[in-house]
Amino acid sequence: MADKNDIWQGTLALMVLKTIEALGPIHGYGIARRIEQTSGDRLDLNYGTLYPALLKLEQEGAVTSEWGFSDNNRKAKFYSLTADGRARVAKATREWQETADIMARFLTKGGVA
Amino acid sequence: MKRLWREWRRRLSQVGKPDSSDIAEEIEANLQLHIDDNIQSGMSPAEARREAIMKLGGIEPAKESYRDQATVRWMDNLLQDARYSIRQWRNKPGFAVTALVILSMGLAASVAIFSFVYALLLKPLPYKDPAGLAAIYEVAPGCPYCNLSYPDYLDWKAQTQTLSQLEGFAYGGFAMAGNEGPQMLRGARVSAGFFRLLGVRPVVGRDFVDGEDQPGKPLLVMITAEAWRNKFGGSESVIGRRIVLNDKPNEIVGVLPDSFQFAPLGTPEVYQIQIPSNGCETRRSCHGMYGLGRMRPGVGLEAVKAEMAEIARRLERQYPESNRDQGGTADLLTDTVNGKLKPIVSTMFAGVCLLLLIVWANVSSLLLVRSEGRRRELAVRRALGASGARIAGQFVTEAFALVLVSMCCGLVLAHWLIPLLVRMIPDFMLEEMPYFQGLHLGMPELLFAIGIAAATLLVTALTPSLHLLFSKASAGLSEGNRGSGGLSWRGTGAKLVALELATAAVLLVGAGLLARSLQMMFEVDLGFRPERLISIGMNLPGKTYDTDAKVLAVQGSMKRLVESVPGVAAVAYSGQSPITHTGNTTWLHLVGSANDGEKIDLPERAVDPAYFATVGAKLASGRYFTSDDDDKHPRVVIVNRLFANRYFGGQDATGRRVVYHRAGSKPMEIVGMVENLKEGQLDADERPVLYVPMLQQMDTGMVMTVRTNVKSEPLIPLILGKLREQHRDVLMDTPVTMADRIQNSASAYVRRSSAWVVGGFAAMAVLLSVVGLYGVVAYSVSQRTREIGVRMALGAERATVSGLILREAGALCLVGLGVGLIAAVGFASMAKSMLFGVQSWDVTTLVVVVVVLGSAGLLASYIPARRAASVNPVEALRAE
Repeated sequence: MADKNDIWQGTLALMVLKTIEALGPIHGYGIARRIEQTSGDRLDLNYGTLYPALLKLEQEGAVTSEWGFSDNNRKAKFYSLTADGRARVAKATREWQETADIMARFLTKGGVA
Repeated sequence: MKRLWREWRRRLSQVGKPDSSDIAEEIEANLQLHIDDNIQSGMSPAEARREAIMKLGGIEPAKESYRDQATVRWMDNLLQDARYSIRQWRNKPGFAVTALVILSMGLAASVAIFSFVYALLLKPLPYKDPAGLAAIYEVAPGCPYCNLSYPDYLDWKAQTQTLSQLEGFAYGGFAMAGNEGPQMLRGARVSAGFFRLLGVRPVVGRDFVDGEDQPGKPLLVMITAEAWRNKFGGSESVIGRRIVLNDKPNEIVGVLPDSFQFAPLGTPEVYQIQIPSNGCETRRSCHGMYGLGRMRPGVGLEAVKAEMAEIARRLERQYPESNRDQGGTADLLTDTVNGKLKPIVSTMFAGVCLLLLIVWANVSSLLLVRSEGRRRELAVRRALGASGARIAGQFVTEAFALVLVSMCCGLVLAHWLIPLLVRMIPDFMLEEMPYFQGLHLGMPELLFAIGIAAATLLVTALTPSLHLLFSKASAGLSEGNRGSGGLSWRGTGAKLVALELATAAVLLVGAGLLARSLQMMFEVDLGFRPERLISIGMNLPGKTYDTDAKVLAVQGSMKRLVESVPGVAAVAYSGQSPITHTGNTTWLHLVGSANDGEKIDLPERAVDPAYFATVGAKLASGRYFTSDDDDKHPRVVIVNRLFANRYFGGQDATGRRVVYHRAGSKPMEIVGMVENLKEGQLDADERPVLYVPMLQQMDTGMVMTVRTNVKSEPLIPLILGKLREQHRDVLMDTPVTMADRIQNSASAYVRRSSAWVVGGFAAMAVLLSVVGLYGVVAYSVSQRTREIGVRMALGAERATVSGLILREAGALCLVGLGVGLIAAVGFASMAKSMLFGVQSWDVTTLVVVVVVLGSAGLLASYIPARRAASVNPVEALRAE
């Protein structure tokens, strides 16, 4: 466990949005699982932090939620992106890639010449 | 930004709403999904659940962090507390209403008085660098802050090193010629640099220029913005306009800004440039103006004082004839302006502070009573896990709501109260206090109110919080009784009430002593009969009435006119009216007596033959003046009894002779001696007075005194109408009855207004202390219901029970009254100058105060005592 990474402040929202974008209406547990899987189990996610994050996104108007039934017929709350959320994912993705790109240039050997 | 706004709008919209989210359900659903997965991967059901919950980080913490995001937590708490408070208030409205009324009253009174304190003492004078301005005075024996003579002023101006600028100002009234007859303008005369010294610039036109105040230059005036609008049309074309003031042409050169005021001159409408024109300003011995200087940077007041004294010494050597015994001094302008009223305003402010103390004590006591009642409830809440901070927060919220509401009410009250208090000042006095005109609830008052509110909040929030937090939570829970907690309050509350009663006693005694002083002052033997007397100040235009004969003629004509009015009994002229002290004195020597060489400084009054009879003076010996005592006959004088007592050892003064301390004066015979007439302020000591026949000392300024057979007031318009009709060129003041003059005299006014104000505070203090006493006794009764029930079950009479309660209240009253009376006598001894004719331990006042406070206290304790006696022992015991 100790060698797993904690979620950076502020990155969780984007991970959640991206996950919802990829998997359509999806419940909280599914989102959590998916994030862990995508990270190749390198992230240690406290599932409890997901609820305020989802609520914040909902308050901001990026996602909506709706009660429905899961594959194994259990009642669960499903989240989907709004148009606003979709635009936000696109924008944030672009920004992150740019940041990562710039950082990569610095961090690769001889990046700063 | 938009995102943040959306988020917060939603969070705020959830504040104070019951939790409507389905978060518990959602967490549970997701947990089930997780468990299903875990079981599928081979865990036992118990293990699956345990692992899922661990991954979640616990169900409750997850809910908590969700709720933190759902709303704004601290606001939510606050609102919850506020709702709780309001619910509590609704259950016991008596508490809330009492506390609100008391707090609002206290706040309103303190803010209102503060507005006066601010205007007078705190607000800087509206001039350039006001701290550097010094008023310059001459010092004469018996006159520590005396006016300057114009030649002396010029010498000081030329010689001073400590002042960078010295300017002069003088009072002056102007009669402005017009089509409707002369119009009286309040005026002043100032030297050319006066306005520049103050840093005041005209809004229209120009300022006076240096050198324009030299002899021979044309007369210029500046007018105030108010006069500009009301009397000169308010158009810019007023600049250059020529007006005739006191028969001389003047040109208007500038209009002063609206904000301009200069309290030492009152509220003039016209400022004329001071060119030494009249006789007085050419004589070194005639003192008729004041000096205003700017201290050089780094020069202190003491240095200026020293230099003024030094220059005065030089002038004394140079002009021994006119400047003998004359010194010089200076005072900060601020002190000159504030000096007169400082004691009154400070007294009022001290009263307000006392009042606030009472208010705080009372509200704290009410809060304590309530927190005692909530001891058990709070203990339960703490036991259930509410933190100390959370409970204190509850009190703070409650206090906050209380203070906020009462501040709003108090400010509204103050908004009404301030103009009301200003209106209590008579107009003629307000004219001398321009800084009080238009006083209203402004920014400084608001800030002060907020400060007071914050202090109140501190007191009201801390009292119960500390009281409860420092007592053990478990004690309240286990006890659950009404005994020991009640005792601790009864101790504190009783002390507070005793303090309130003492304060109320101090204020009551103060108001009583002031009222008695006023009464004593009105009972002072004036030496004449003031009832049914009217006096009218008059001024004859010097240009028309340039000879004594003309003055005499118009005086006679006006006298006959007034005498023809039905109801008028007698008419007389004098230089001044009694009770007015103008500081108009003369120097005299006795002829052929032991104190021959001594120079006597005493008030001189010119009176006509009818004067003494008209005012109702009593002749002690000799005769009054007659119409033969004119300039064709030897000069004669009349003195008062005190003159004879002081200078002739109490022997008859008639037949003796006096002479003016003036070159070429001839001895004058004293032909009569009158009993002392009150010639100065009511509370001033009698002085020796010299009366001279008006016919031997004619003047164009005089006072007509009219004695009527009937009530005077209705005759005033008749008299004035006749005079105005026939003598339009004579300037007349509004007639006043002598009774009004006495009522409105400065010495009466000061005591009356302070008696009212202190009385107002006293009334509030009595009210508050009665409420406080009632609160304590009622509380004590409610806490002792059980004890009373037991006593009555054991056979105690109802009278015994109520006696028990009354004794407790009586002891409190006694302590409060005792302390209060001692303190009151102490305070009164310190403020002796405000008393007149009464001692600080005036028995009548003290007895009245004891009776008033004692009966109010008894009434306050009688109600709860009766309730105690009406306790039904069966029910009191069953309630356990």
